Amino acid sequence: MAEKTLEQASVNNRNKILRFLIDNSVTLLFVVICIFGIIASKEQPFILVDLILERLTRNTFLVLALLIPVVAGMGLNFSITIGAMAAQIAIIIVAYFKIPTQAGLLTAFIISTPIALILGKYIGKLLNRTRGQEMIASMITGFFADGIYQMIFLFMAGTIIPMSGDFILSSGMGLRNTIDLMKTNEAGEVIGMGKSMDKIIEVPFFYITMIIAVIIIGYFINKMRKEQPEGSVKNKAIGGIIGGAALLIFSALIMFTKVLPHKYNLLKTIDMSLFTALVVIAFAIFNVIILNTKLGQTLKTVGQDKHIAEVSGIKVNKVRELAIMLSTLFAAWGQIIFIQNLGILNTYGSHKQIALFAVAALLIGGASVSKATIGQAFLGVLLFHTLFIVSPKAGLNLFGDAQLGEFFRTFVAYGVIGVALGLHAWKTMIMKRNE
Amino acid sequence: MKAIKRLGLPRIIIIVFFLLLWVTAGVKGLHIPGLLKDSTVRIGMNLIMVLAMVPAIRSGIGLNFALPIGIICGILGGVMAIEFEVIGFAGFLYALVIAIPLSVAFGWIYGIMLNKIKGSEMLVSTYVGFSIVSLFCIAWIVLPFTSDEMRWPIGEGLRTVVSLESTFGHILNDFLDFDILPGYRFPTGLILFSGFVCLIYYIFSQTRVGIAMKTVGDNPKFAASIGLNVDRYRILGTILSTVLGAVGMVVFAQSFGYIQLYQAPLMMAFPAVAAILIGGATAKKANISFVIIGTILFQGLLTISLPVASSFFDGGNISEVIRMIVQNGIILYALAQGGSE
Repeated sequence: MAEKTLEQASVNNRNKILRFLIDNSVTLLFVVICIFGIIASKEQPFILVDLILERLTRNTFLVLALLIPVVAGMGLNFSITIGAMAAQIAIIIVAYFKIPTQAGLLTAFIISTPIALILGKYIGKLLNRTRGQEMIASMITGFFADGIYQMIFLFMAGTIIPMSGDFILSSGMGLRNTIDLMKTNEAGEVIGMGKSMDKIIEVPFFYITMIIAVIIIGYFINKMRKEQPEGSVKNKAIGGIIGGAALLIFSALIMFTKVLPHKYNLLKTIDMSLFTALVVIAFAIFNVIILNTKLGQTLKTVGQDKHIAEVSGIKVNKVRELAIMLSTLFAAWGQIIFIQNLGILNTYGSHKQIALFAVAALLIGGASVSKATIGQAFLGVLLFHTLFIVSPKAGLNLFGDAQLGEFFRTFVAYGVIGVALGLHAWKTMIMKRNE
Repeated sequence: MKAIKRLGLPRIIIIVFFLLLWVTAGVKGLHIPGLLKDSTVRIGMNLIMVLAMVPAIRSGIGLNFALPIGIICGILGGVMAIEFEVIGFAGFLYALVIAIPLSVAFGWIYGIMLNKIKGSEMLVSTYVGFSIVSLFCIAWIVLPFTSDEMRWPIGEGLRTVVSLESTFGHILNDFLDFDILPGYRFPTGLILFSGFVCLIYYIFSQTRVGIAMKTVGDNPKFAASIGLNVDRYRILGTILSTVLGAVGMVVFAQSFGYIQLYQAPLMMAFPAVAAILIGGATAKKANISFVIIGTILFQGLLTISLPVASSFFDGGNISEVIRMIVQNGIILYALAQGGSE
C-alpha cells in the first residue's frame, strides 16, 4: 500500500514537471537559446552583465506599460508606439528650448503626460469601434500615427511650425535625423537631458547584489526560526540561504579581492543606475497595487466578460478607454527613460521598434494575450535582451557573419509573436467549439 | 446622398485628393504624358498583388496580410532564373514556373494553419508574413547561390538589390510598347499580362468551384449545410492568394528592373490591402472592379504626389509619408467599419 502511494506520488510529480515544461515551453526554449548564445558569443562577462543591466533598467518600464490593456481583455497594445511618439515630442521640445539636465527630464515627463493622455483617449475610442480586432487595429494605428508624426516633423517643422537653428535641416524644412541629448557647454558639462535620470544615483552593481544577498539570507533565516518548516519547504529555505551566501561571497570577492581571474575581476567596474532601477521597481509595485484596487477589479471584470460587466453597471467602453490611456501614458514615460539612457534621439526611428520589442519580450517571459504578470515582464526583458546582445557576436563566431545574428534576432521577435498569437487564437477556437 | 454614404468619407477624401493632384499637375505645367506613363506602369505592376486579396477575402479568410509568403516565392523564382542564367522571356517564364509550385505548397501549409485560428486571421497572418520575410533574410545569406550577378563581391550572401537588366528586366513593359502621346509610352505587355491574369481569375470565379468558394466566404454555416467542405475551400482561397502574390512579385520585379531582397518585402502586403480597400472592398466583400479602381486611385496618387509636391517645395520623401497615412488610414477605416456591424 505504502509503495503504491509512493509510486503515485512520483507519477504525480512527473506529471507536474511535464505540465511545467509544457506551460513554460517558450520561456524555457529561450533560456536554452540564451545560454547557447552566451557561450557561442564568447563575450567578456563584464561587458555582458553591464549591457544586460543597462537594458533591463531602460526597457522594462515600456514592457510594463503593456500590462493594463492585457488585464482589460484588449490584448497586447501595439499602439504604445504612439505613447513613445508623445514622449519624443516632449523630448524635442525640451532639447529645442535647451532646458538642462534634470529640469529638462522633469519637463519632458510633464509635457508628455497630457499629450499621451489625449492621444490615448482617441486610440481607446478607435479600439472600441474595432472590438475583437483590437490588436491589429492598435498596430495599424501605430503605423498611421507614424505617418502623421513624420508629416509634422519632416514637412511642418520649420515651415508651419516656427522652428529654426541647428535642429532644422539646411533646406529650412524638417528636423534633423538625430538629436544629441548629451551636448556639452564650454566647461565640458553635459547640458542635454541625456543620462540625467541614470546619473542621479550610480552605485557599483555588486554592492547592490551584496545587499540583496543579505536580504535573501535574512529572510530565509527568519523563516526557519519562526515557522520551523519541514520537508521540501525546509529544503527550499536552506537552498535560499546557500544561494544568498554564494552571491554574497562572489560579490565580495569581486569587489574587495583579486583572487578571481582578471576577466571576472573586471565586473567590479560595472555601475548600476540605482535611481532609474528604483523607479522601474516602484512602477512594477504600483501595477500590482492598482490591480488590487477597485479600479483593478473593474478592469479584470471587463477583461473576463464584457456582458457581465455591462450588466453589473460598468461602463465598459469608458473602462477600456481608460486602460489604453494609462498604457499610452506609461509608454510615454517609459520612452523618456529609454531615450535619456541612450543619450541620443533618433527623430524618425526611436519609436518604430518599441512595440515589437516590448511585446516580444513580454511573450518570451511566458505571458499570453490574456494573461501577463510583472515577473513575466522582467524575465522576458532579461531573456530577450540577452539574446539581443549576444546574437550578432554569436553569428560572427559560428557562421563568420554578424548580420546573420542580427537577422536571427529579428526573426525571433516576429516569430515568437506570431506563434504566441497563433496558439492563443487556436485555443480560443477550440474553447468556442467545445461550448 | 446614399452614394456618398456608401463610399465613406476616407474614400471621398482620397478621390478628391487624387483629382486635385492631377489638376495641380496640369496647372503647374508638369509633364503630363510622363506622369501618365509612370502611373500606368505602377498600376500595371501592382495590379496582380492587389488581385491576390480577392480570393482571400472571397474564401472568408479576410485581408491577406501574409502576402509576403507569396512574394518570397516570387522572389525565389526570380533569383533562380538569374542563378541558372535563363535570359529574356524564358527567364520570366522560368521564374513563374519555379514560383508557382512553391507558392502552392506554401499556401497549402499556410491555409491549413489558418483553419486552426479562425477569427484571428488578420493579426496572425501579419506576423506570419513578417516572420517569413525575416527568416528569408537569413536564407539569402546562407543559401548556396553562386551567380556573380547576385553575390556581394566580397563577403557572404546575396546583395540587397539585384539588377535584372541582363536577365528579364522590363521584358513585359517593352513588349509591343508604343507611344500614345509623345512621352507617354504605353507598357502594352505589362497591361496585357496583368489584364490577362485578372481575366483568368474572373473566369475562375464564374466556375462552379469559384462560386462555391464565394458561398463559403459569405456564409460558412450555410455552405457547410449544403455539403461544401468549408476548410478545403478556405485552403483553396489561401493557395490562390499566395500564387497570385508570387506571380505579382515576378511581374513587379521585371517592371521595376530590380529584385529587392532582405527587408524589402516586409511591408509589401499593406499597399495591396490598402488599394483594394480604397477600391471599395471590405474584409468580407471583394471583386475585380474594386481591384482595378483601387489600384488606379492608390498607385496613381502615390506616383504623382512626389512630382507635384516637388513643384512647390523640395519634396523630400513626401510620397512615402502620404503612402503611410493613406494606406494605414484606409485599413483602420475598414477595421472600424467591420467592428461596428
